[in-house]
Amino acid sequence: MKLILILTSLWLTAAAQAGILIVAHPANSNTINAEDLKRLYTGKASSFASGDTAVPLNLTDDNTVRAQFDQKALGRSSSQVKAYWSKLVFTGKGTPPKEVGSEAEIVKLVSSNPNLLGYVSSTADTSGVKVLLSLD
Amino acid sequence: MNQHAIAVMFSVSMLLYPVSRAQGELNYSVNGFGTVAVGKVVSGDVNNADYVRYKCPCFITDYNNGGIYEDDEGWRFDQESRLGVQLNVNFNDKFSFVTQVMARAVDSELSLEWAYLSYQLSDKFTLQAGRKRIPLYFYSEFQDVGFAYNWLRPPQTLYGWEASNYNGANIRYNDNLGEWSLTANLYAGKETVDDAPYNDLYDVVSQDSKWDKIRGVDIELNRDWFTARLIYMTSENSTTERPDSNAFYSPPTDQTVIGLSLNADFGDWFILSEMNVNKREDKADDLTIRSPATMLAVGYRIGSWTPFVSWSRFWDKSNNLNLYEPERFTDASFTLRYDLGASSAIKAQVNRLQDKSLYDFVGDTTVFAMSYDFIF
Repeated sequence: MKLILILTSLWLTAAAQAGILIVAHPANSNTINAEDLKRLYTGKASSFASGDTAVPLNLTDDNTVRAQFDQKALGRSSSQVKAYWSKLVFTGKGTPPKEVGSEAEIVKLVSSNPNLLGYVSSTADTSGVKVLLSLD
Repeated sequence: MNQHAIAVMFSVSMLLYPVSRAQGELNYSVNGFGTVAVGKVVSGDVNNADYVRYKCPCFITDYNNGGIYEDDEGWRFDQESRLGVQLNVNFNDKFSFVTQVMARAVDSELSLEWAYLSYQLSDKFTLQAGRKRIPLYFYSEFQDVGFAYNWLRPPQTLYGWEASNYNGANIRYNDNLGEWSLTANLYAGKETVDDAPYNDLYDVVSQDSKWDKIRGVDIELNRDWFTARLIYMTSENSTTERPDSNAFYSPPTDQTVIGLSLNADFGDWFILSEMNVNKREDKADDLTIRSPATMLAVGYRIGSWTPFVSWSRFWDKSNNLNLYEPERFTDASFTLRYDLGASSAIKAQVNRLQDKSLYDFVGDTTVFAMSYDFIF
């Protein structure tokens, strides 16, 4: 019983601390750093280092991994990120990343299009995609 | 006004859920935002309670649209509540159309705030033409979008002029220089406001207001936590000589605006500042009015809460006190914002306005207001 409690608490800690993996198509040979990622997800850049178009994908905000990504990659709460985008959207200066409903959908879309960029939790199944960056 | 208008605004917002469609290359999206705000004058002191057509001590919430909380009126829903709906159409990956319409409880008409065509010339240059917001001060282009900033309303010490839109064209440049990102924009156009709400705040006789030959530039630099924005604009302003004549007063007054805003955002703490000077030269009467306006604000984010204090000052200087008596005031405010989920927020704000004008203006006024701001 004690062991189960310890394992459960370890698992809960691990789930809370799970990192974020930035994923792309297996044929994508670009490297990406935290600053590049921030630019792509705030609309300040729209291409990979190679010059190819980069299209970032987001999770819808009912997904807990979205809030973790906003905090870890952009250093902001989801509400702050939306406030940032609402300034750009309602002045016609930008369009936020397209949102999809699940991590599985991100993996599926990214595995079939070299221009896409996405993120999943480090516990997600990433077969079929390449991990470009890991955020703790 | 008018619960009716508010009810209409709400039913419209219910109908316009986020929509997005793609057909071949052409795709469009509909988005919107809104604010339901209620406020009142809590206390105040004034020399003359009758100011133009208003009961004072009073507080101007929106010079562009004529929102004002008057003395002894109780809670008012209709001065700041509003709804905006925007349609974006992308004809292809370079060519698009953006239009935005606002419904405001303070007036009975819909106003067209944006309607322009945009063509991306290259990675860095975009050419746009049509109707736009004047990109004057930091919040000018999105002052209706309450969800996007922390105040209940941007300080009217800075954001109070006759015109807030123009019809014309602009060219925009975007670039990343090392760690810095840069946006520069050149624009030109003109605007005529019929029965200008701004003029109604100063005169019992309605007037049209014109900003002709608008020429301006705005440059924004950003690096991590730091943002700087520099602006310069000139225009030729005039108003109609009603009731004597519908003709615009001639020669026009030359207006020059210079401004700098510096913002620092460290995640939890953030500091916002703006410094502007508006100069108006009426050469026919040898009258020059300089109006420096400054603002400093500090906030701190604790989870979903953002307490925020702001101080601002508007200080007219006139070279001829017989022709023009300066308007001068300071406005201190405290705001508490609470984010409800990721797409809406509630705010409560107290403003203390101290009127130091050289004529009987709005008086010293304390105002309390609450709002619900949302995007969809």
